[in-house]
Amino acid sequence: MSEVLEDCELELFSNLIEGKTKSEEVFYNHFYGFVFSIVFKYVLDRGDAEELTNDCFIKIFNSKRKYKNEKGGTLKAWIGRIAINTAVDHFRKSNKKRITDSLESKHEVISDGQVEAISRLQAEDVFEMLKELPDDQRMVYILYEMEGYNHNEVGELCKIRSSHSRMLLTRAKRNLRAIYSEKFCQ
Amino acid sequence: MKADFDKILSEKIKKELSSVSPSASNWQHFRKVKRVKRLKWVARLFLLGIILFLAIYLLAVPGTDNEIQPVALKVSDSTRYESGTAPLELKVDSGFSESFDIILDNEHSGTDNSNATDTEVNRERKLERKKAVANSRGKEEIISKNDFGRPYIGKLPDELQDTKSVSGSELDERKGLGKRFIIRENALKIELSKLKPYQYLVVNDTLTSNYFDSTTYYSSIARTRWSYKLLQSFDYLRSGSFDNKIIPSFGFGIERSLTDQMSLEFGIKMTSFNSTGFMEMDSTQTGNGTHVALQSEYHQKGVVIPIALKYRFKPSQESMYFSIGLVSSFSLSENFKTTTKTTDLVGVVTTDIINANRTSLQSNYYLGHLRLGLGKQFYISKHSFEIAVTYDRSLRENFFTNQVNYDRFSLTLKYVIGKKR
Repeated sequence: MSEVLEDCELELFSNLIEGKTKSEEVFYNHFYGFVFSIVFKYVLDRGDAEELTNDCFIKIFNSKRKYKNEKGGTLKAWIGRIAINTAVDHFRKSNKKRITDSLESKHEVISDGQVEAISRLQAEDVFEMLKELPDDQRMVYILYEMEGYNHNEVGELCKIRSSHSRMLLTRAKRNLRAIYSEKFCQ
Repeated sequence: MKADFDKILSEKIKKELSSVSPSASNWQHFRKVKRVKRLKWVARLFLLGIILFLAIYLLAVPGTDNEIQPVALKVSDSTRYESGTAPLELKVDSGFSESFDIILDNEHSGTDNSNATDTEVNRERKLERKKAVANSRGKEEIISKNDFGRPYIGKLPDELQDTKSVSGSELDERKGLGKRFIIRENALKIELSKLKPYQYLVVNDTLTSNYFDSTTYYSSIARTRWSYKLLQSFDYLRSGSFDNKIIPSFGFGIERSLTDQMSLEFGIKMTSFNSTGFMEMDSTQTGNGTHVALQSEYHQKGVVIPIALKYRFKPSQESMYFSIGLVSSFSLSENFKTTTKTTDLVGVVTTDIINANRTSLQSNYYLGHLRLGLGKQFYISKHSFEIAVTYDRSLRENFFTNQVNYDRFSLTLKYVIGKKR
């Protein structure tokens, strides 16, 4: 089934390369949800995610000929990489938010009951927690925990050292615990 | 405990993030965004062009050469003036600096004084010639017989210049060229009535007697210094993979004249998806003759060297030039889309028609590719501008872009900021 879908997507892409009528529109509509879901993780805001998704498609259409030269990797993976790179670039350009002292000084006290309570969190609560994280920590956390990149890859993407990536991830986790304790365990 | 918490929280976040339903796609909105972004790009390029223009203007304008005031000649080139009652006036009427040749020829013009005998005429000629030379060099000088009959080239004799009647006129003989004069201010009035019966004056407008090519933007008007060129163009591609796209580009070139008839030019042209570097060495003869241009272009994925040989001629005394040429192009490295290394030889037949109003019509044809261009050169202050509209039609796979059957309309605006333009 997935092979059929992949063939279908490749056909969409070859139509795009050949410049067939409406090929861009069909391609855009087909992959919109996929790209949106990737970039949403980073910005956690629908408006920003829509904007970034459009940026991704502009990049995809402009660099569509480059895909041919890429050895290995599916079309979706290529699109996904562009989406992640776009999100990371967006962060890098706008990332001025640094770790605040108040956040750093929070203490996280985790009990068994609190661990169990995680499952009762709503989606909005989760997004709120993530939004409270400084941008650089959130980016590293999502790249590492959600996308499955290792620290070297995260470092390459974010143009930071892998040790810095490790540090940011540790801080992100500590801060998430602190935010959780403060917001949901009072 | 912390590790468990982190793991469970991570799973929860993953689950919630993956369950987010995407917004509905909006193609029309995307098209608007794309258009706005492109406009921003164009605006940025335009702004960059203006900034560079101003920067170069500020750098280029100060200097002694820029003291030359704009002059436009109203004489057709190589006009021969004999003795007459009305003075010849060379007027300034629009903005650019110009130089021209004035040759006072003492050769027998066929308008002899019919009342004088041959001996009398010869004697008078000899005497007047001595006087003219004395006036021009400020000392007495005997001219040998061997010099007799050769055109007199040098400073215009004072008695022919009515400098009092036109304030501020000044003739300046340029060093090295010997016979070229520059009008520095408003106008020059030459008293033709004072020409002797056997003398005549030849005035060459060096602008019209030099070569102007709208495509390569080559212009050889008394070039002895640096000049700078800015190029801004908008290409509209109607078919091919650039369907209905407007591609802005911006270019900058710098030209150094090596001699009066040879120049070297470097530059770069950038578009939103490609950049092209170019180098051009150009050699031409003043007036009619062979025009040789050696050009090279660097593209992102290859080097293309077109070698052009053009012959330019004037079909009549009208200030119109016609040239026909052949261009060969060698692609020294891999071709763009096919990424295959090729050595291509492309024959080009090119024609240029340029009239005295600096309107040019150009056509190129090479192996299935046709180009027609119409350009107009004009001047604002000391600077030269050209606006050109070009239509390209590729009838087969294009040499540079590998586009098949595409149409392209280009609107190009070029500025030349230089001296003595």
